[in-house]
Amino acid sequence: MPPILPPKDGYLFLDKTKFPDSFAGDVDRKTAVFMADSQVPWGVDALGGAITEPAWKSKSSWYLQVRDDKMIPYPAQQFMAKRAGATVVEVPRSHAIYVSNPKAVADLIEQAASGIK
Amino acid sequence: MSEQPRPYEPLTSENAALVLIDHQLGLMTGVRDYSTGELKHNVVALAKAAKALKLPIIVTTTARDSMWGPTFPELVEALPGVPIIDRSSVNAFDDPKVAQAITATGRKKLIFAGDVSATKLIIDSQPGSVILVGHSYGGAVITEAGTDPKVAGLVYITAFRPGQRRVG
Repeated sequence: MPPILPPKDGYLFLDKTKFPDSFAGDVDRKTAVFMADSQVPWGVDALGGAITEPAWKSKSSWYLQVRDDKMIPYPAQQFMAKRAGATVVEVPRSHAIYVSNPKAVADLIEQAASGIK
Repeated sequence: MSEQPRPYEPLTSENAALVLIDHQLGLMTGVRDYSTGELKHNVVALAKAAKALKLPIIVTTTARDSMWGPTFPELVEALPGVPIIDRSSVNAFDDPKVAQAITATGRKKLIFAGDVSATKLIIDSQPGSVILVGHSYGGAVITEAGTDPKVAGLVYITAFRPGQRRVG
């Protein structure tokens, strides 16, 4: 489970001591600690936020499934990717994939861009 | 290209209005490209200049009481008596109260300053199609913003992909 602290004034933070391992386990320690310190708070109500018309129902989509993610568990990612038939690419590593393996992220964006005319 | 070219009209204190979107405490921390001190300084200066020129000023917030908190106090102080329109939708242009307030000014030249609606503004300012990329909670943002006709595709990076009504 993500190390989410009890809400304070309606905002959520991740426990800074657990952040490096759970959010960025594959990022060098110094960077992960900095990410923990510089995290942006998250509004409690964002968890129940309303979507008027989900864009994935009408647009092509791609999903990068990250196997070792401890923030959004792999089975949850699989469920969300499958729900609307996204083109799926899968890689190992953590939730901080955009830091630890930016090439995987960039490659998927390129794939999406070349798949759309 | 059938539209008649219109002569260029510069901005004046008679034809322009200022729209300030989502300058809220809870959103300040998301600003990374420059310091929040500088952001506050610039927005307050813009608001004071607009006031000195007697421009109509529209101020709006997203989910003030439940999520992103109040407008930062320096801006409220600079604009005494200006009502702040709170919205539940992320896109300010979709909110009828904001649309009415802007229409009511009768001004055709609008000066925008904001952050959450930035996704929509950036989409609008692109010459061609766009691909939206969302990581983690960002998946919810692109799921909402992605219905714009200019959005050609959505890329989710280990992200939430909410269905209708509820996230998750």
